[in-house]
Amino acid sequence: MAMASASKLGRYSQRVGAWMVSVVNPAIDSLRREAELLAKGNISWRYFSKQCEYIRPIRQYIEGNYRPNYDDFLADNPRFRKKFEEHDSALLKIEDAASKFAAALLHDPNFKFQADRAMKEYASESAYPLHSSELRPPSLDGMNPGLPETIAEYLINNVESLPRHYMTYNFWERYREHFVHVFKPQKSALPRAVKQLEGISNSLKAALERHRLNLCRQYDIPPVPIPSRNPIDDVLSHR
Amino acid sequence: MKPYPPFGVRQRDLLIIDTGPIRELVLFHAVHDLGFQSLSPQLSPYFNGSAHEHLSNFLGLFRERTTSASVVAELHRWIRDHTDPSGHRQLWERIYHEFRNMGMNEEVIKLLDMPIDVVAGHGPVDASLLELAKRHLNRNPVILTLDSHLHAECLKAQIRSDLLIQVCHPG
Repeated sequence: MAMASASKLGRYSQRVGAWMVSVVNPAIDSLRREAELLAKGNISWRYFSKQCEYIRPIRQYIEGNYRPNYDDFLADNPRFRKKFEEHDSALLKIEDAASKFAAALLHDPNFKFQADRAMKEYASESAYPLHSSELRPPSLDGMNPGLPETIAEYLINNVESLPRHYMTYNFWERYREHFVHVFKPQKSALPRAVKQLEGISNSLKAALERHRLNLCRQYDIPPVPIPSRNPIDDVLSHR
Repeated sequence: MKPYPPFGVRQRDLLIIDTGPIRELVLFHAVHDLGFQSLSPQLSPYFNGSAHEHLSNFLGLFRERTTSASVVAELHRWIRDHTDPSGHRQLWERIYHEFRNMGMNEEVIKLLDMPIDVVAGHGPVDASLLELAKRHLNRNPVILTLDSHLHAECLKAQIRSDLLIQVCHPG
């Protein structure tokens, strides 16, 4: 069996090795991170840019100086062009749904009222903490974008807890449950768009992993090159 | 609605942040969240998830965080000279995100307001941070840096300074 497999081994291809290291592996790693974010419902959408920060079109997952390898990979593996476009179009739908949800929320009089009330309550307690030993929560005046926009961003990203150094840490610890309960984007197009990208992203990752295995077998190359102990080996093997 | 968590920690007033800690924070997200693997050799070996959390907690102790415009210029030089142009926009987005979320203040210190000896000896960035601390002495400022030369200069000038590695690995 082992002999039969060995006889099918192809020739080493530096070109395919370059696809592997600079295109296929980074894309798979990025899709893995995407899957973790999407499973938590955190799309890393930013109000400021109206885009997802950590979920990007596939091309942007490839470092700039390797983008010619990306184009070369697509030239000889055209079925992935369609898959990548499908991914990128699902991402655009998410960003569009998130922007629309944020815009609708910011026009909702009840949301405006609740955000304003929470802000006033927070401001009064921030100015006069209950105990002198307590940390005085930071003032949220002059936030850019403002607090309502920031709340919309947190709801869209399903943020449960913020890093301690964020100005809004205390505010969100205190008011998150209330805002999630009343304004969670359950009925908007956003959850459907997130589910759709999650499916596309997972299936793309699986397709790239299968393709990587096929290329490894066909060209007798490892998914990640192992640095040789003797640099002369490299020179000889590339002749 | 939940009450504020009891911290039992004394709040401090003003933190002045040098380029290094901001760069580490940005690098951490660039490598782990944006997948910029080529930047991982630039990230300090001690700056892992737990170090990030300690730094976040430390930054959260201060009522106000500020830096100088010279630090922003130094961040620009780092991005321009040490990172791939295709990722510049994303790195700046991350810096904007951090500044915005931590409510970072930024102050301009003019060259002519800085002692020439300090500028010549330590450069305008360190000089601007020392000058900033002197201007806010009544607020017990702390300078956060990873530069041992600036740290030593702060001690000499009787300004409190914390090194990033100590903040990231307390005790």
